[in-house]
Amino acid sequence: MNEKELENSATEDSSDIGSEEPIRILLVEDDPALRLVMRNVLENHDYHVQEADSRVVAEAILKDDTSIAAIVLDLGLPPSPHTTAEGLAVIRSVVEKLYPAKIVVLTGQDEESSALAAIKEGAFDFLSKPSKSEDILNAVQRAVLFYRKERTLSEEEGLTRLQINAKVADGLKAVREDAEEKLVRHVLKDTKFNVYQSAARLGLKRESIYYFLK
Amino acid sequence: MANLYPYLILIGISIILATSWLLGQARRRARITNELVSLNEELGFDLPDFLRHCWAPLQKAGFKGISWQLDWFGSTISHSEGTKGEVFIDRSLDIDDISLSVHLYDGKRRFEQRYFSNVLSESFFLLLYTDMWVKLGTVQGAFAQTAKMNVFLQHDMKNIVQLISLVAEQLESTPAGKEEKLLSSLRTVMPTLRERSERFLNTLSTQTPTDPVQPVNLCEAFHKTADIHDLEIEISGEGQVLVNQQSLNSICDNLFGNYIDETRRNPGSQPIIQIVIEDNENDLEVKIRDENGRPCLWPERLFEPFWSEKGDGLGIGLYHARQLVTGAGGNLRALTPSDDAMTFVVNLPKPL
Repeated sequence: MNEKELENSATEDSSDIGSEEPIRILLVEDDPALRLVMRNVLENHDYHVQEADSRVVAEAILKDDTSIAAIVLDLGLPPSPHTTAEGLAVIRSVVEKLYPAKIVVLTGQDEESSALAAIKEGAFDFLSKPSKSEDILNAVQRAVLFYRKERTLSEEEGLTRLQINAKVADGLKAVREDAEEKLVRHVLKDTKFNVYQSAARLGLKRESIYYFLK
Repeated sequence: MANLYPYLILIGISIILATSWLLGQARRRARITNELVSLNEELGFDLPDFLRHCWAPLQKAGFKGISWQLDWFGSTISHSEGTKGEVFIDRSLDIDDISLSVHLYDGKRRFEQRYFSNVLSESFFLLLYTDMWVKLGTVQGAFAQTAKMNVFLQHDMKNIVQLISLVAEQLESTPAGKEEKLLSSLRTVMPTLRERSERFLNTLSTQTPTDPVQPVNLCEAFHKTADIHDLEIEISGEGQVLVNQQSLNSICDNLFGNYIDETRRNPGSQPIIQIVIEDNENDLEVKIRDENGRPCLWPERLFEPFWSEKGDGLGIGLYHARQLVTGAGGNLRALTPSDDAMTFVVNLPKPL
């Protein structure tokens, strides 16, 4: 998708949302001054921003608010702000708990290795500090666009996007098992862990669902 | 039997003389070994320098000559002194980027002389080997610390640059009607930015601040730092100390930093910091303790520079604090009972 199309899509989205609630963004940044300025940048573009200064706070917000469309994430968070451990843990948590939010990483950590690790864990986009506000906003727009389109596909066509990290050497069986588990977990989450409904939706026996719940 | 006495006396005297001679020889070799150790220390454990200056003591020990070839981080140097012969003791030492080959030439020695030569040459080789490790340890440590420092400074610097960059962009393109909001943000951001930049400079600076010392109220300094870090503290006692204000801020910052790190690691455990200030004759003694704190597992490492418990910190906070306290004429130590929370004890001079 080129910049023009993206802009058009984002405008469409904004107008969609104009009549609804504003798009919700979670800003995870441990530097309070930078967090405040970034919040202003996002709010000036009509995003509703929630803030977190650590992984624990971010996870609590994500648990409470499932309507968050995008997360702008600094990888270096306390208690180890000079490593990527906490930031990557946030990405892992979002992927594992099947939160629909898209993650835009904005970090000052070593670019190449951090980008690789973040994308491997499931980040949607990666920006290194310092980035222009235009680049940050473009990345957030793309993330929101994907979030909205995936939600539409899920609601209208029942399509679910699954992310699978697979090693070719592990063969098809490993990929299939991973995909099956993720799909079942996804459906279970959608049905609020109603095993009967999940089994019906997936065309499986209830016993098979219990197998995945182990 | 009486006829044997002169022989027995002769044998006894011979034994005494031989033992005395051996003891004399042993003492002489010990003195030469000490001379080598002292020389090595004087030369700062520098291997090339030591090799260039070691011949004099070795010659005193009776060695005929020495030759060595040193590969020193890719540069090869060699040297020889005295005369070479057929009898020698040799050793090759090799660690990473340093390798050394040494030949110590000796005359034809037997019995105790050979033993003494071997003992001395082994001590000499051990010194050479130690110097190699000292150099490598220093080099590797310096690289590790520089890399760690770079990671820390880059992280902070990138945040500062990102902040300035976003503020500059907002100043240029603030939407109409949102100027007041921007101004309000700047009022909050700028002091924080200044504080961060000052801390950044403090991290880089290894010198004690040069501003004049002045009487400073300890309670105010503790409360100010606690407020910045959103820490709750309880203070009993009060008093003034004669110290540079910037140094005191930095000392408080670094001491409280431990409790802040602990809170971040265990978000549920809020520290309860008790500070007791006692008035001594010449100084104020301050005891700082977290009532919820854990016993310190690494008491010997607390003030070691570039060491942090989880390996995730720069590890110079407490080292820096101790340097500043000592520089102010005081003392900083930690009481680390194995079954109770650690207590920092700071002594700082009082105004006259």
